[in-house]
Amino acid sequence: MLTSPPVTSSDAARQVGQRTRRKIAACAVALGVLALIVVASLVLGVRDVSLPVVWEALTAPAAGNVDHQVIMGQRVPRALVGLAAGLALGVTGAVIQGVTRNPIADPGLLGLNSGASLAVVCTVWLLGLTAPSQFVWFAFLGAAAAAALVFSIGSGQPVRLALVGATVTALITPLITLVLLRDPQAFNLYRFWAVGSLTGRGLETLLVVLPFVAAGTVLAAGLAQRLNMLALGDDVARGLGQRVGVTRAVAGLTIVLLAGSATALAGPIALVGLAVPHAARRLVGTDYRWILVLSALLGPVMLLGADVIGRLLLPGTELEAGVVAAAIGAPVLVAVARGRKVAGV
Amino acid sequence: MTVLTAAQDVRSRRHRRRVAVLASLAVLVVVLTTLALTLGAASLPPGRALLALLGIGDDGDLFVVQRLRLPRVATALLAGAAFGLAGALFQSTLRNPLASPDILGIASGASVGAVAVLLGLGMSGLAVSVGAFVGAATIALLIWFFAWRQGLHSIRFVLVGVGFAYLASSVLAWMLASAGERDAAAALVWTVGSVADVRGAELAVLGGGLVALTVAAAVVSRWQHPLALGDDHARGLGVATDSARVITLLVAVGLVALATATVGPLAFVALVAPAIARRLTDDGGPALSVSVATGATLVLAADIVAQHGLLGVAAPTGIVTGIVGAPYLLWLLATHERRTRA
Amino acid sequence: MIDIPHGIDVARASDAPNGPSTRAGDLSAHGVSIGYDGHPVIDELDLTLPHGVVTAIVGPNACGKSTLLRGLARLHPLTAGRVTLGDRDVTGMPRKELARLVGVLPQSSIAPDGVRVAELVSRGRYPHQGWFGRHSSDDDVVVQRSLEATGVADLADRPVAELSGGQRQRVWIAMVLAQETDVVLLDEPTTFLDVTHQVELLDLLHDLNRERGTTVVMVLHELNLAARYADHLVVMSAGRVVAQGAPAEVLDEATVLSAFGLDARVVPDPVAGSPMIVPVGRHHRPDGTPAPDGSTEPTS
Repeated sequence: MLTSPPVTSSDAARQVGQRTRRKIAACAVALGVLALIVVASLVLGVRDVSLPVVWEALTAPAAGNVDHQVIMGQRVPRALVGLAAGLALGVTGAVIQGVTRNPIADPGLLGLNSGASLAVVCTVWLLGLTAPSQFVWFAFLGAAAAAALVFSIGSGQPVRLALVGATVTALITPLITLVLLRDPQAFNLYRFWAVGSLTGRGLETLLVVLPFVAAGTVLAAGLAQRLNMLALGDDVARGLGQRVGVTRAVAGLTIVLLAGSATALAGPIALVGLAVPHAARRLVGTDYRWILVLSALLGPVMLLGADVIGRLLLPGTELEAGVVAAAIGAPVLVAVARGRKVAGV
Repeated sequence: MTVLTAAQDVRSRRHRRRVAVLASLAVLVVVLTTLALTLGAASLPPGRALLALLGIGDDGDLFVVQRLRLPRVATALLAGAAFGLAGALFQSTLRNPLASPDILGIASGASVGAVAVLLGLGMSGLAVSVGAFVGAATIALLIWFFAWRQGLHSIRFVLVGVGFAYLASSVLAWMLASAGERDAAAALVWTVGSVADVRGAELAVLGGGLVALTVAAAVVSRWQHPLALGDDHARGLGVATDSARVITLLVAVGLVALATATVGPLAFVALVAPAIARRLTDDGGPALSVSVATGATLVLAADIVAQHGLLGVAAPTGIVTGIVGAPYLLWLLATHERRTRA
Repeated sequence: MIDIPHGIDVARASDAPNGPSTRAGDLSAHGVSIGYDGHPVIDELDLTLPHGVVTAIVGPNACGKSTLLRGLARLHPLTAGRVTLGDRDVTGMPRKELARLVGVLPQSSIAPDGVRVAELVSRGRYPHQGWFGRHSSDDDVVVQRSLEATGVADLADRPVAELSGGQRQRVWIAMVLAQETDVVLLDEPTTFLDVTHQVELLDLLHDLNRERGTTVVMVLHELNLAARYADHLVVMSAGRVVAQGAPAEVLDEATVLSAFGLDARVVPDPVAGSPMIVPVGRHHRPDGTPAPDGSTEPTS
């Protein structure tokens, strides 16, 4: 089409530039919103604390000040947990959808959440451990075992992978219930853990998990270009020189690190990992480099935002972040599903 | 001598295979039923159990068999049949093996409804069943309402359904966490589902409803073969795809709501039974009748294991359905993978 | 040497907007508009496809030819206008009734896992069956005839998934034949077939037309095969019909240039005598002159 009305290189460059600016703007806005939500999560709550006092608590905490204790002892850890878990969920969701090319794939559907839950429940039942910081390792182990089972049977075929994930969930969920029915203490711990919440996880849990979140995020960043190629199909990706098996293995490791961390930190949070990548895709298109960056920002926006909203909804009490996140995520998912092209991932 | 045409030939062999599968499942059901009537605190030999079933024997035997054990067996068979049929209708109409009421949130909707009645209103018995029915129907209507956009597209329906499934299970988790310890434990048992203690009127409603909905399913089943070829082909063959899907899904939701209201959400029967049935018939069809039989067999077997065989303690039926059905399906999936590669 | 300013052929298309005069059994579009999500692809199109002949619809990518076919078959709703078959309005007809008059083979067909050839072809009897879908012996006879007509009777017992692309396409056509309709619409039936199977398939459709009098309407990519096999050729561009008629009258260098933006020679096909398009391309100009200016954009 040489003789068609010429699209000059400067025109094309301008269009690309505009699109890039739009993507940068989307990320900047997400970052701004995130900053506002972090501030809100420090200020708002059952006990409102003014901004100057928050600043004072952060810079020069006084030992006897109740406000300072609330800020440093509860709200700062809670915000940090929300940031880390939200980031992990957003990024892992994007990686899972990229590697399975399945629009409904998420840690829940692939059986990771149920694996982690079973491990946690068994820990409480058999070992009598009760502190979240002690669950961490077992949550990881459970998620990894479930992922290994699902990936080994489903091995790569997107549709079958999802069916195997659902079947493994079908296998594990009753096992969890069985333990819960046998052991009332496990049930009591589990039912609070399973809602998904950012409270009650101290800084020590966060410190244990943080290296895994960091490692997973770095791996995910390295996967971005590979996921872009994989989106064109296995054969095209191979033709472009990619070792598809290696990509899948690295992606599996990334998913276990991030989903395991998030579940260990905040419990089996539904829908964040599913809805955030869809929303990101809507805003910045199909390039996984941008999808991952924006998912990393929107994940904490959604999770920490849900936490803040949960403090405000009911006077005098709080609604757990997991419930609110599901209530926000479902409409997001419905909006995505009603979009023009739903199958495209 | 008439010569069979190719179509007749293939069809009669299909028919023979289906009859063979159904007959094997029927034998399995008879064996399991005998087992279920025999086992228990008052152990009866199979002969006496079967005679008692026919009304012959002493009062004690008659009471144990007809009043205690038979209703439980009947409930298991009826509920299993309902879940199997519903799952098969969902999966073939939406052309997605994952599209079962468990994954689409209709089961969790029923749980939310029932637990809301149990914990929120403090009622039990029939009110809980009504709550479950309302919960399931509400979620189904919500999915349908939000998924409808110039027609009912399968992938849209599934995606919206998954969203509502997570929402419902989140609400359920929250209700369990907010409740007192004892209430929460009772609610947990309900969310698992059990075929015990269903008697008289409830059983009659389940049976009558199942018969009515099975007739409806037989009528809508004529759309399933064309729909399996995809929307374009189905339309080309003269099926109004949107209304066919809506009517079929209404029947399926009715089945799930009915069964769930009676016995609770027996986990994943509707996902697993049709998947197994399709692999037993292997004709690319919806395998409706075989799914009915598979579902009934699966739940009856699960209930026997739940009552007598699991770690020495009696457990609700729903715990075992997943443990019995899922490994078999995983095995089928793993071997199918190898077959298609070979 | 072609030196025709683009746009000149629009006059010819509007000379005969309805093609041949309407006869009983003709499939006609009257003021038909079709769009996707509010974007019109076809706007107020009038077209008559003659009864009892083979019609091919050709045109460049995204010219709306598949959309038109889908609209005619009611696979996609019309936003305006109506479609008639003879004197009957097809637009509001119950689907099952339509399916006894018009058969359609959509572009992509995926057979369910495990289904066998005879079973798939039997599905074509659906529009003729009652509420409970019982197979009558008539059905079996029709299925058998369809299997034989498409040369797949030997494969009747095989799973469709195991067949080659050419065999599979013939099985799908057998299913459409089993519908026993007077009109058959096919959307790019030769895609993914090698040239041998393309010719084989078009021969089959030709036989079908000549032996049973079935009206065949197909969207085709391959211009030369369309010219060879069509009795009636419809050329579309940008959602409109730019030319139609017998291939020998319609397919000349000007039409190819304006509709496809392709600089080409048109010579008689050495075998059949139908017009044959030979593209020039950038590197094979005999006289080394540049391509006609602006020729790659279809006329507007």
